[in-house]
Amino acid sequence: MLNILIKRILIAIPVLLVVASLTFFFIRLAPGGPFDADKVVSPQVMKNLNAAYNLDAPLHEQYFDYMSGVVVGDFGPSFRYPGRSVSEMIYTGLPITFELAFYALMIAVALGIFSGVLAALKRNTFLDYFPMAIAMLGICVPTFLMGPILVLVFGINFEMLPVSGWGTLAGDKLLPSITLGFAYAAYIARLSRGGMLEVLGQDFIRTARAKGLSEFSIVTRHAMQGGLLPVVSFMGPAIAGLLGGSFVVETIFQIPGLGRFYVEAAFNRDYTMILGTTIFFSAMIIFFNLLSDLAVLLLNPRARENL
Amino acid sequence: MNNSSLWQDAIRRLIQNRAAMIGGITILLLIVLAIFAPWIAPYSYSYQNLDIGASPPSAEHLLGTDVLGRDLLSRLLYGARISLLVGFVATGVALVIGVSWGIIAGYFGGRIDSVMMRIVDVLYGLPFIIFIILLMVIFGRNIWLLFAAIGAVEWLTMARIVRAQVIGLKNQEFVQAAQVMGVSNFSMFRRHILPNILGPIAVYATLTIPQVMLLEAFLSFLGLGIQPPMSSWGTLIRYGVESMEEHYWLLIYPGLTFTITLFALNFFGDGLRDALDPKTSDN
Repeated sequence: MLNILIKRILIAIPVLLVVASLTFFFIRLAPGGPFDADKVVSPQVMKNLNAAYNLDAPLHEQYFDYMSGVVVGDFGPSFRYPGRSVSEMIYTGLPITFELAFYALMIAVALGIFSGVLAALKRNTFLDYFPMAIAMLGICVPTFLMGPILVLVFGINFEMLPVSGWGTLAGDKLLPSITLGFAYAAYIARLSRGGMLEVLGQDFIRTARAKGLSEFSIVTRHAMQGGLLPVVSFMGPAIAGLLGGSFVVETIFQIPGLGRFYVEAAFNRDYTMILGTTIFFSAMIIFFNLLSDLAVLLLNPRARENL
Repeated sequence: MNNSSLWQDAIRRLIQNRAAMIGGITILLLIVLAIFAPWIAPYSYSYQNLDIGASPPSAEHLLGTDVLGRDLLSRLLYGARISLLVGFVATGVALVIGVSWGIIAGYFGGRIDSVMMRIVDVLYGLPFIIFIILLMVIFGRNIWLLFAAIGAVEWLTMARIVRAQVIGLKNQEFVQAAQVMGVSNFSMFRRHILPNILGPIAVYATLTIPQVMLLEAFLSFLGLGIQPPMSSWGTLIRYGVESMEEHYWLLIYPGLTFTITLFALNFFGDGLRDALDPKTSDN
């Protein structure tokens, strides 16, 4: 087990390094310098600007300077917002994005597992068809459509909930969290239904029934352990997807999180901000994937044979 | 093991599946509408009528007009061309990369296989959505680049599926017989391997199209995808959201069109999977 852990971490480190380096050099391919959009400046000012942002050094020196900064969590200054560093923006935006993703994930897991398990137990009845139809809806209605529709219905039509901001008005966290979590609730419901159906047909469940265990303890103590494994391995990709979804949700609901900063940086061509957040997001996603893979290994001894 | 009878069975099962058939017919209809959009659409997608501005659905403009007085129905029809084109072209790109990658890894096995599949594992863990955004920022918002970038992201699962299938085939007698007879690698792939894995490839390709369309719409919604005056459904949804409070129809109709298309594609893909592999239909 420890071997696998070390092996996975040893793979993750070079991957992260390659991602960071590729992003760094990719950004240099971008047409025009970071100050092109501003008004024309004199050559001397341009020179000073380049010096201030370390753009006059040879490329390999810039690269090593940048990388040694990244290792200690310093992503350099923002090109667009003078006086602000990329790290500072990441640290102000991150807690909000994390909070949003956490609520969304809670909604997705609770709703998804509940309806998925129920659907598997009540197979081919209304309690199976109805949640699965809703789940199909959740998969086919993208976040960027779900959000505005919820805003239109609950925010504008019924005036029940605030439609923008984060933590300023009561209940303003509800709509963004539901918007972001709904699609994942749908995926989790389908996965847990499939996993449960597979497990419920197996011999050890029949044995448990023959022993006279109550249906409740058969489901919770025996079937769910194996039946929910697909959900556990989905967690890594789900968290990666939640981050991508946060771009949209934070834009729709005007939430000052990291996702919105990223989209703004992409619009403004704030190259250092894009570079920093890309590296940061990659590190997080690699980390969460690692975590969910390890969780699967812990829960399912059979998966270890494939390594 | 008769090939044609497998497909005949599959088609029979597919036709019996009502949801899949409705899905398939919807997609066909959309493709026809998209191809003939310039002849069907009542107006040009860029024709502006500033006098009427944003007007609700009426006899002249069945689905209403946007703020610039452009006919929404026409823009949806032209948007179908771009959205469906992205769906099919990017899936095609993913198909070519994924199938070749999977066949080579699975067929040659050994060290080649483990290196190739390790690369797939590593790529799986990366935040691709961010890389696509990065590419769009660096190289400008070019529609062909968008196709290639999305296709380059979606091939991973295809490679895994194809590899598993090829490994299963490799040890079958007819493949070994062909090897003994000295069939070249290329004609082995073309004549013996590929025809036998067409089923799973078709199923996965059908299910990739809606994912690709979602990705494109996502980017266009953020303003990083298709640029005006061209419009994909994602762009239209974006404009719809901007003015949904006064002009609800600008959000509702593009949203509905997009959702129905995704439903149709998913139902058809699920139906195809069940038809080709009856075992899974129980789940």
